[in-house]
Amino acid sequence: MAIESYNQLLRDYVELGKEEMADISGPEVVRVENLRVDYGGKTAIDGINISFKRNNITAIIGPSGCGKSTLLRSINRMNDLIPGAKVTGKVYFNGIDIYSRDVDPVFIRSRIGMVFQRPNPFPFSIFDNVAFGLRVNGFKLSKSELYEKVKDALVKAALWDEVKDRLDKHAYSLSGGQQQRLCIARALAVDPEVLLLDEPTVSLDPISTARIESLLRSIKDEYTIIIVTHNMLQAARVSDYTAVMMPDENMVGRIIEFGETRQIFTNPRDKRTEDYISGRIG
Amino acid sequence: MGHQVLTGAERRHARLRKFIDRVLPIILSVAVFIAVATVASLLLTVIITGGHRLSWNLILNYPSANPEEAGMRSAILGSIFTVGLSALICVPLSIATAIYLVEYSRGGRLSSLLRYNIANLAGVPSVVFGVVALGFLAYWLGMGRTVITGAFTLAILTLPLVTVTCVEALKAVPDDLRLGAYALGATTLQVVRRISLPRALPMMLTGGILGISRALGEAAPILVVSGILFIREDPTSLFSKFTVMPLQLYNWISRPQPAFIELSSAGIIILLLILLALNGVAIALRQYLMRRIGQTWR
Amino acid sequence: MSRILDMGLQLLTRRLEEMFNIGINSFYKSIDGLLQYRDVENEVFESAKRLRDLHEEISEIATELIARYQPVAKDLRYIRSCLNISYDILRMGRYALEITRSSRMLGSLLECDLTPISEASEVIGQMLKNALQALQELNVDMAKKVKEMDERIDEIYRERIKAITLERNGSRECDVAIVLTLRNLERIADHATYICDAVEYIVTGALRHRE
Repeated sequence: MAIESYNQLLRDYVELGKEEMADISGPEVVRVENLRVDYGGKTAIDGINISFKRNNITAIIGPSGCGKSTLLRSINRMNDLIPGAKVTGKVYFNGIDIYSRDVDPVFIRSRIGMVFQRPNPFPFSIFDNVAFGLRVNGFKLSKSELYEKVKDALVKAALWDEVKDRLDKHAYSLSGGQQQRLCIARALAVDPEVLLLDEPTVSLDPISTARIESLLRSIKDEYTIIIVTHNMLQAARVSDYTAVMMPDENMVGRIIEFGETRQIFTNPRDKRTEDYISGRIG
Repeated sequence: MGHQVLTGAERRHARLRKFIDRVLPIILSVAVFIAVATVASLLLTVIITGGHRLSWNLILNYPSANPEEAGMRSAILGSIFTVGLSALICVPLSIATAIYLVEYSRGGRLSSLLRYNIANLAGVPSVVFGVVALGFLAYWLGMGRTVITGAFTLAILTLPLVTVTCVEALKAVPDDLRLGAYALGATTLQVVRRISLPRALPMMLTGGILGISRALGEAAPILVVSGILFIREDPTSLFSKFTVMPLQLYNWISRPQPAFIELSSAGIIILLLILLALNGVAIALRQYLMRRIGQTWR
Repeated sequence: MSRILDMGLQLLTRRLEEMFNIGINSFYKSIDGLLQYRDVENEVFESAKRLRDLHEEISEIATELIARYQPVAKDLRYIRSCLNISYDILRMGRYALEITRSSRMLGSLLECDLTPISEASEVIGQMLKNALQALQELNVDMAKKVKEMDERIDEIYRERIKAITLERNGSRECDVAIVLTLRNLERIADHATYICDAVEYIVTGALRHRE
């Protein structure tokens, strides 16, 4: 059995739970085939083939400008929002090509959440931040149901204990690390299948970073996580699989190696991977 | 690096830089003084000339050949009608245009073309708008030389200014927030309504008030459109004949009697007070909205 | 550009080479003592002690490098292998001491036919030198050659045991001494091959399990 059309995907989400969806569509949540992204005529990445396994954390590492974030943004159609961006190739989500004509990017983004480099909480209260996704996606919830969902998300994001007494306080009253966990909670509240993280700890201190890393490990049984990071050791610590990207001689980003994180960090096959992760280049 | 001995040229250069550093603030404060002094002396002249002419008559009476009785009632009402109406037309239109330009046609070619032209429009002399409105609205569309025509003229006149401010206001909303909302599955409309607009609104309103202030002071296009300097009846409908305060002042100034010169000064004071009040409202509104959306938290 | 980690790795390499040279010397000394019936026990014992200290030092350096620089890939494999190799050399020192002690226990062996021992020692000496070179150059071919030479040692050992069980005319002392010594030599050769496995692991990442 497989999901054959976008409409079926939509229907299945309404009628089936996430576990049943997983049974139907198999272990590959996202598969990228021959992806190429151009920005205003300049190719950023090309020839990208990779698939992301359900309930695993995959890290994408590589030097600056290798197109890691571009690849990430292609997975939930965030590239649509960048003027002059052109995506060719295929990205399958549960077997459905998300770039095909009948697919609504808004729906895709509600199923594939994203957390950004800098914490970007909305200028609302803590509660309203987490509830935002539920509200814009038109979930019909009673007040108590909404509260429960918000609480669940904050618990998963390991933030509940710190904010439970001040949910109505402004989000900007939180520290940077707390704000980023709030953003993770916000993304988790809509219960996506995939969570994309674009260098989520780059602006945080080591303790906040460690918290976010362990929270990612703790939620990976429920979500498929793809994390872009500059920090190779973060990739080594947190991920199950690692993809290494590198710009070629024309500065077009490509995946040069993909494999289990254990293998990449103890015995990389590609010389460039070896040099990059050992700190000899980049 | 360590301590190096400077060459002669380097030492001269260092001295020069120190000198500039000391002299520049003096030059700048002189410039500030000139600007402030000019405005202050203008104000002072106006107050000295017209201060004693300030009275309720000035606001409540119709214009008259007798300077003791003359007021600017019809002009004040005309200004409130046309400018108020123009704001109602211009501000929503500007906000809508800005939303289209910034949020919908994100950086497309059409968007930048439009934005460029709107900016250019802001530089067109205001009398040109008057002439176009007279030809197109008053005669061709048959709206006549009425309040509604005046309002549209002022609306079109202030549109570029307000639109540019609204565009800037939306552009000042951090893209992070927008992308964050999109990434949660929000539609563009939801992003505008929940994220961009609340955050840009204070600045947009400031722009709106700025536009209103500009419209309030415009004489030339209204002179072309309404053609009336002297009128002794209130505007009662959209199609009434009308005049506005700057025209009334213009009328008084052009009279030979010194009493009317004094009256015009008093009229200027009233115009300035209205402007001041408008700006006060703008500031209060902005403070209130900002506190509400918590911008002041940062 | 040299990395901070590189300085640590160089220190590690220097200590390991020092150990290697002490180990090789100690091996030759024990064999010389045996063949020429000289008392070298003190010297070999001192070497074993020194090897133990160096082994401790290498462990500490390696632990520090891992803790401070989080090495990955080849760096990580190199450090891990240094720990293994250092242990192998430590064991070699112990076996050299065993050879010296057993020969002292049995007294003079000048009457015995010690050709198997001298032949094996010669091969092993070569193996150790080559292993050191393979490590210094990270030379996989050289490492493979050492492993081939190990087969010759096993052969000598097996032949000797067979010969002793079949022939009944030799002296008992000689047989015991030769078998004991060959046994220890065979262990030393094994450690030389382990070292070569470690060199291969550093270069290719291929792991070989020790028997």
